[in-house]
Amino acid sequence: MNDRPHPRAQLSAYLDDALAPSERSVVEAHLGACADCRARLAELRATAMLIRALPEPRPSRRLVPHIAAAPAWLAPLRTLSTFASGVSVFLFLATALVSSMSGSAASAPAAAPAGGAATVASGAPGAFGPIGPAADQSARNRSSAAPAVGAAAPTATSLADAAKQAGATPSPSAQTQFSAASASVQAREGAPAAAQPAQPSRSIFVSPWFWLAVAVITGALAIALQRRLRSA
Amino acid sequence: MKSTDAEYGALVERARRGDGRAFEQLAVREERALYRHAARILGAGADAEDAVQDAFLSAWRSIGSFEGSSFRAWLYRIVTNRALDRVRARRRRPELPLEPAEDEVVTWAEPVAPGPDLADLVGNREAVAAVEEALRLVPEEQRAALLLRDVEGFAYEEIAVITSVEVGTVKSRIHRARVAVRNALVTRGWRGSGG
Repeated sequence: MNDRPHPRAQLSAYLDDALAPSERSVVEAHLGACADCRARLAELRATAMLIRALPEPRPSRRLVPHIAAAPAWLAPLRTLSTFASGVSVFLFLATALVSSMSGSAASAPAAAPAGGAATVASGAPGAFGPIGPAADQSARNRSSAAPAVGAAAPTATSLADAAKQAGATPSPSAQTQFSAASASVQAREGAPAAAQPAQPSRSIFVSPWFWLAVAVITGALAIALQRRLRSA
Repeated sequence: MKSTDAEYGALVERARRGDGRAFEQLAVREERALYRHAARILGAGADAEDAVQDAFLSAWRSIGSFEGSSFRAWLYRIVTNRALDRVRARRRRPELPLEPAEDEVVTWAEPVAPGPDLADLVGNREAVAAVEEALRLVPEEQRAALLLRDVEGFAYEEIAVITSVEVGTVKSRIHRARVAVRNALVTRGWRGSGG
C-alpha cells in the first residue's frame, strides 16, 4: 500500500483524460502501487461504459419545427388571395344583382351566364331583340352597380379614365364594365351597329357564377396558405 | 467523415444567415441525441419531447447570436437548460437545492460480496434497470454533466460552457454522479476488476 493519500477524487477526471499532465503523472504513479485505487478506477470505467450502453429512448413524434416550410412569398400570396376572394364576392353580388335586374327589365332569363352582355349588345339598333329604352336601362343599371365605372359618363375616354382611377391594376372586370358601358353610350347616341357584339370570352366576366367560382377558389387558397403559414 | 464535417459547417453557416431549410437539416441530425439527453434528465415522454421542441424553436430564433465554434454544443446548452428548468419547475421548489454542496465528501460504497464483473454487465437487463434507477436518484445537475460526458461525449471544457459553470465544478459533478451510479451497482454485489 501507498502511504500517500489515495487520489480518489481524481479518478473520474483521470479516466476522462481531463487532468493536467502533472496531476496525471501523480495519479499514474499511485495507481501503479495501489490495487484498491485500480479497482475503483475499473469500477468507474465500467460504470461509464454501462451508462453509455443504456437503451436509447426514441421520441414518439417529430420534434423539429417546420421552419423552411414558409418561403418569403407565402405570406403576401395569402394576403393577396384573401383580398381577391373578397373582391370576387363583391363582384359576384354585383353581377348577380345586375343580371337579375337586367333580366326583369329586358325579360331575359335572370342570371343566365353571359346574358347581361348579350342584352347590351342586342340593344344597338339593327340588332334583334328589345330596342332602345330597355337595353339602355339595363346598361345604366350595370353602370350604377359597378362603382369602378361610376355614373353614366358621356364619353368613352372619361370612362376609361374612371376605370384607371378606380384600380391601380385594371382588372378584367373593370374592362368588361367599361365595354358594357361604352356599348350603352353608343346605344344612347344612336350610333349604328358599330358596337362590337360582346364576345363569349369577355362575357364570362359578367357572369355571377364565374365570380362565385373565383371567390371560392381564392378563398380556399387563402385558407390553405394560412394553415401552411401557421404550421411553420 | 471529413466531408461530413465540412457539410455540417456549411449547413451551420447557411442556418446562421437565416436559411430555415439548413437549420431543419441540422435539427434533424441532432433530434434523436437531444431527445435522448432530455429524456435522461426528465424521463422519457411528452415533457422531454416538449423540451427539445422548445429548444429548437428557441435556437432558431436566436441563431443570429450563435458565434461559437460548436453548433452541437450550443444546441445541447439550450436543451440542457430547458430540461433542467422543467425538472426544477416540476419540483415546485426551484430555490431549494436538493443537491449536496459541492465540497461534501464523496462516499464510496464497499462491495457486499464478490459478484460478476461490472465490465461484463453491458446488455444485462438487470444492470440496465439498476443504472437507470441509480441515474434517476442523482441530482439533475450532476446527472446532466455525467450524461454530457459519458453518453454525448463532450469534453470537460465543453460541458463547462454548456452548463455555464467552472471546469472544476464539472469535474466534481461528473465524479459524484459516476460514483453514485457505481455505488448503486457495487452494493448489488457487482464489482470492478483491476485489483
